[in-house]
Amino acid sequence: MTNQEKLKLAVEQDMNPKQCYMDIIKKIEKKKKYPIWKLSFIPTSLIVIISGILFLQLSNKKENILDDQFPFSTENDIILNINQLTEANEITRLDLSMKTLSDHYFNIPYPYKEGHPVMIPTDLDKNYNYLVYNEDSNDIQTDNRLYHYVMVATDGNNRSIYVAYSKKYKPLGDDYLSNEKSKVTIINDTELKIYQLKNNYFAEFYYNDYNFSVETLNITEQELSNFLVSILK
Amino acid sequence: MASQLNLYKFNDIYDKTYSDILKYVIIKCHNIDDTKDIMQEIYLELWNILNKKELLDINIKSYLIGIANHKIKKHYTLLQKIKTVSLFEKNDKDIELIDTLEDDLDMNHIIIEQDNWDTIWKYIKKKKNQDIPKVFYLYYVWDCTIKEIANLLNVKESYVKHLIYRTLRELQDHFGNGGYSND
Repeated sequence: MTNQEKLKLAVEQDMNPKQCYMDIIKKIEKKKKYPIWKLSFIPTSLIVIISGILFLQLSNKKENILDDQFPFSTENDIILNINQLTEANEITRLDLSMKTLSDHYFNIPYPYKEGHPVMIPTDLDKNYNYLVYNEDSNDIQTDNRLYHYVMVATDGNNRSIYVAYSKKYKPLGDDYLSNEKSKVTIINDTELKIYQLKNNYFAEFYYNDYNFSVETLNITEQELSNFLVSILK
Repeated sequence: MASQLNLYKFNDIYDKTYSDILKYVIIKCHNIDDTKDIMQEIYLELWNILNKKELLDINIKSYLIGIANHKIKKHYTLLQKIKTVSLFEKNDKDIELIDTLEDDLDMNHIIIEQDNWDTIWKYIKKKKNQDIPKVFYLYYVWDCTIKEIANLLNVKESYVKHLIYRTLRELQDHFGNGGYSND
């Protein structure tokens, strides 16, 4: 048997259609055996029990409730004018000609005004940065082909805030989401256009000499608002 | 009874389409290890559809590719897409290196000391640049030509060639004795 045949065999064993079929059938059988209403019974019961316990504890603590209040308000009175997007507006941002480079290789500029804390949900405790550039570029930092920098805060699972910024370009390009009819939100004299598509919010604005594009995943409107207000001082 | 009938239909479709859909998913996925999950999601969706309606007068392969597109898109959030983009996979330096590689390096000429190709395939699958397992799958399992692979992955032929030769060289260094066989 040649090496190629041996590799082919190893791949076919790994991607074995029979094994995949068995796994699918198991899942089908499981669904038949435990329909959703049955599966949901256990967590529902647990929720009811936990809620009951919490309610009892809260009732006992009522007298001390003021002592437990958060030391400062986490809400603001800004109303976001959100433009709803449909699937038809959705555009894949990653262009094949674009590449990324981790911040191990360069110093990422800080785009916000110094001295103001940025309010990010506490569970988004994993951060990483990178820059996006044209793959044909030879000298990334000085070359005109640098597109934008990116800072990401994430919980490592499915919640994240992604901030792209550039002095020269709009990170998402001119024709990504904006249109003249889009509603505008004003936060501390900065004009923003905010969009929503399912669990994602998108915000575009110009601030501190940078073009910004913010994208969030599974972040609430209030968390988005807090974040935007904290950076637009 | 209806369920049994649907199972026959399902099995028939599965047998006829599995290879092509697998190939499509491997080309489109961001990490080859996600393939099994995505394949299961695709065919579970097919099963659900078969239980709701009859699929008459449709090209079932195109229909499944539609489901595959949806499942792949759903499987990866934008963040994951960005995180899995490989660094420097197609830069100019790589292209220059091709000229220095020997064109006659052939998989069948590599002597593998530990003849465990499951381990070797796992090693290829774990490469940070996920184009490598894709290229190996298409080249050695599907017998695609370098030109066909370049078209399927939307990359340059020289890049595909480079990935094959560079990885073969690596396999030889890692699993072999660094030399060639005599045949």
